[in-house]
Amino acid sequence: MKCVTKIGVLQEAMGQIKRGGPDFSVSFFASASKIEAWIAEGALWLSTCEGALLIHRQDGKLLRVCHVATDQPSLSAALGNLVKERPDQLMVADLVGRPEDIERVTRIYQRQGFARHAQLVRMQRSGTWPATMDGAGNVELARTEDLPELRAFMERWLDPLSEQIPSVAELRAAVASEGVFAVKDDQGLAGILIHETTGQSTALRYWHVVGHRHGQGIGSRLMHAFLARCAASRRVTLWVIAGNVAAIAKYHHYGFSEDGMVDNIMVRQSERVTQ
Amino acid sequence: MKSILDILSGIRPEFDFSTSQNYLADGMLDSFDVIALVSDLDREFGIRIEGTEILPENFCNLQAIRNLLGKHGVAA
Repeated sequence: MKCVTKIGVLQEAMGQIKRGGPDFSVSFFASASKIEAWIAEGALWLSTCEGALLIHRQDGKLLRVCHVATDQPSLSAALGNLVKERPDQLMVADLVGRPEDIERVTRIYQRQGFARHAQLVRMQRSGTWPATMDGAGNVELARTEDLPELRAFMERWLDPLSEQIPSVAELRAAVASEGVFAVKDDQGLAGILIHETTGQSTALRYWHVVGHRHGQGIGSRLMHAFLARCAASRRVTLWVIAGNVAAIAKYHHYGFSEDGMVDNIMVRQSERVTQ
Repeated sequence: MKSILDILSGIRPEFDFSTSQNYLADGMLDSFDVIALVSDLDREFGIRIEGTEILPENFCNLQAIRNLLGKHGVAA
């Protein structure tokens, strides 16, 4: 295993994995800015074996695992080595693609002791939305002083296996770019919505209302604020848990539709836990 | 044979790829789209783009993609 200290080292290692065959597979899609941030934290590691590269990142107690592999036997061998080296490590892998394209890779992970924890589906919205904050009510932009409460909110209410909870630095950047909406009252944060815009596209990262505050229109106000903010975006995307029928119905209501991409979240429990 | 613009529009029909000079910075292509684009270019032009060539600068605009195809002997 080798700690990544420069993005060029990672790019070179990825480039060494021959592609072109029908079994070539990749599950590493991080942007350059994210990669740079992880490198700066010393959180990014590589392990290689013939025909496959594993990229792992320590995320609290989790090890997030991504791969680039020429074929299935190479991926299987690389995962087998990792599991042997770190049997007590809780591992999570996101396998993203069209269901028919990731089925075989999902089976390889399953054979190495990973189980499917959840499946996310991607939804997207094209077209226009009026740039008006009507309907947004008491939604406000989060400020730097809200960071500790925001982070505590996300740690408390979100599933860290299905959602990659942002670090304080990532949250700070999101707040600075006015990407965090919040509804607050005397009981604290009641709901948040975090988004990220790149050029003409916007990604809705998190939309969450505290359980006992559902049915009070908080989610709707957050969504109206968000849609007004990204009115100029030609494409808005999000990921949602496939079985979350209520959330999917709400997204349909706001004009989103499934685009066929899924994310199989594979989890390998520590052997200490499973025994 | 499809043109590069046809292929790009097939991946993300909501954008006009003829106007942008940086598809990635303009949010028109993300990492998933680049992987889809590489596969489509391979298939359409009968080439094999290597892993070492899958860099943002090779897919950031029409000319960059043309230059990449040119290295594989394809004039598009």
